[in-house]
Amino acid sequence: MNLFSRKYAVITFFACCIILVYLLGQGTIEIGYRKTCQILADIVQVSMSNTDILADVIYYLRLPRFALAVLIGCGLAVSGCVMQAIMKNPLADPYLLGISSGAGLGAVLAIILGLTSVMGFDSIGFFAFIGALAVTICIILIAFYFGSANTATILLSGMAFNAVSAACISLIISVYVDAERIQSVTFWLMGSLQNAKWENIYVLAIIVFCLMFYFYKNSRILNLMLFGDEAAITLGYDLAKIRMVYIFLCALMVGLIVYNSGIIGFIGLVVPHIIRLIYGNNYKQILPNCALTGAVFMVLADVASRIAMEGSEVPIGIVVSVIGAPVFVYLLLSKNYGYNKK
Amino acid sequence: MKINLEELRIQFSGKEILKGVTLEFPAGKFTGLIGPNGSGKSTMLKCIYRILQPDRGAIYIDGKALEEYSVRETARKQAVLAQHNYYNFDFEVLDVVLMGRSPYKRPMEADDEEDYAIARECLAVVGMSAFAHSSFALLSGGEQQRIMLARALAQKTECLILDEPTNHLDIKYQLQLLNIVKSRKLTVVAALHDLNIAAAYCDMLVAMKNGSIVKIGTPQEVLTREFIHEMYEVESEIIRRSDGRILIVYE
Repeated sequence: MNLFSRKYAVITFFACCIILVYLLGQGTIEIGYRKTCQILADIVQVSMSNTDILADVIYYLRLPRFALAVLIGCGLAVSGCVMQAIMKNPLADPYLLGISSGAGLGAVLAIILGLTSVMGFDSIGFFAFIGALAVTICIILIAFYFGSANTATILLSGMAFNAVSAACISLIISVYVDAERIQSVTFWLMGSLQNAKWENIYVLAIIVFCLMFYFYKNSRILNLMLFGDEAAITLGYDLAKIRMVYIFLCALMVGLIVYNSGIIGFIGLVVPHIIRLIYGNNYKQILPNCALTGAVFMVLADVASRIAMEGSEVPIGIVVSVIGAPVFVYLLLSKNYGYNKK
Repeated sequence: MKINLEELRIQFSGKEILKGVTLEFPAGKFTGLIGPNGSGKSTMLKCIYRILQPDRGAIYIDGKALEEYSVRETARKQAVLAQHNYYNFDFEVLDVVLMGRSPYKRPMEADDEEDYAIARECLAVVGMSAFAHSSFALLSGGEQQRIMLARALAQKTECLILDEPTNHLDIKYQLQLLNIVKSRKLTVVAALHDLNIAAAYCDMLVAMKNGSIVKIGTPQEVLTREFIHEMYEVESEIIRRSDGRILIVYE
């Protein structure tokens, strides 16, 4: 069976669409499949009736959240996948390497210092990006200057950054006792899709889809990264500059995602690993599959977070960690750890 | 393709590895580099295939300085088969060979029919067509090295640089690999350890010791009893076969 053929890709895509529409109807208020489809059709045709409360639930509550979950799932899975190539390391992931925490620290600093808007622009996202970029650059420096870029060095230094960022955030919380601001800080730590707003989603959607397309078109270079810099030079590509561009783009994406949803871990690790087990390592095949699976995984986690406890919500970061951490441990222990299938 | 080295010098942490090497690799010939470990063979090749930057001196490819070529251009002129190393990730064999088409592709360009045709043809040359859709990681060392040769051939270059490509391979695969290379009639520059293999395949030998060239000539001219003793400090006997090839027997 050729898993890479277009036919399978199309089938997977439609299967995912059906599941996603079904999930849109799930939640505290349950909306049937047919009703959901009908409301979606109305929205597409811009003929939404103002009186239908279910349509409002879908359009103002569920859809933005749903769109955010899709974008974040895609974005985190793809950035994890790309970072694994940049670092030539199968355990690279925005969360484990502390990049998400760095972004969180940047955002928290912006909130606490009251720099929420500079010259009319919302600057929390910018600070999140700076935090993400700072941690990424530190990790790259450590990996390439203090010894080899081996799994243990990168992973451990990343975890150290993760711990440092988390500690800084805790310190800020304990020193600063403005209840309202701390409320918004805890949002970053646990990860949540509650703040889904259409206007933020547009920006995120443009960035995530552009970068996904960009990385997909550059899958040859990502493959070359796995072969190493020396092989790449003999094949006509000097990767040093390209790597820096990719790091910058990944940090941009992760920073924006953290700005929208707080810190959500493990997606960038678990999704690419599952995809690699099925499809191998050719980025041309695994990038689109990662994006799709990441989106479905995130939407599922969001539904779980909404219906797990009646009347209230479990933060999605916790749901994802509960699913992701055991998979991570399994991957570490199993022989499938690494890029090979042996 | 002709490669010229001019007064090539390089040093690592104060130790001079290449001490002003001037040399010409003639076009269309199989040139072997021999010499004991640490003689600078690999370092010299790495300068030619642009992994290392020489401290002084220049390298010319077809009369034009190496720096004037882009990395992409050199990858279209010379392909490299290096010492076999283990990759800790898995690819489909055909995908690995397709990587050899990279120098002809712009960053965002996809592989087309022609690239696939070339990749399949190169797989056939190394006798691995049946493995096109196998997993690279599951092949044996010898098979993997043949796939890497197919990748180098897919670059469609005039010159092939072999940097101790047969290390760790058993004799069957060593001969197989070199037979394929020899049959392609390319300009070949190869660092080789085994003197008998060097004598059997090379048109010209360059002997190096301590970063300098000590002797250049045909295998028959270079590989004499006295010279082998001088280079490797071992006693040997040279047997001349009726077809002109020589055999080295170590005492």
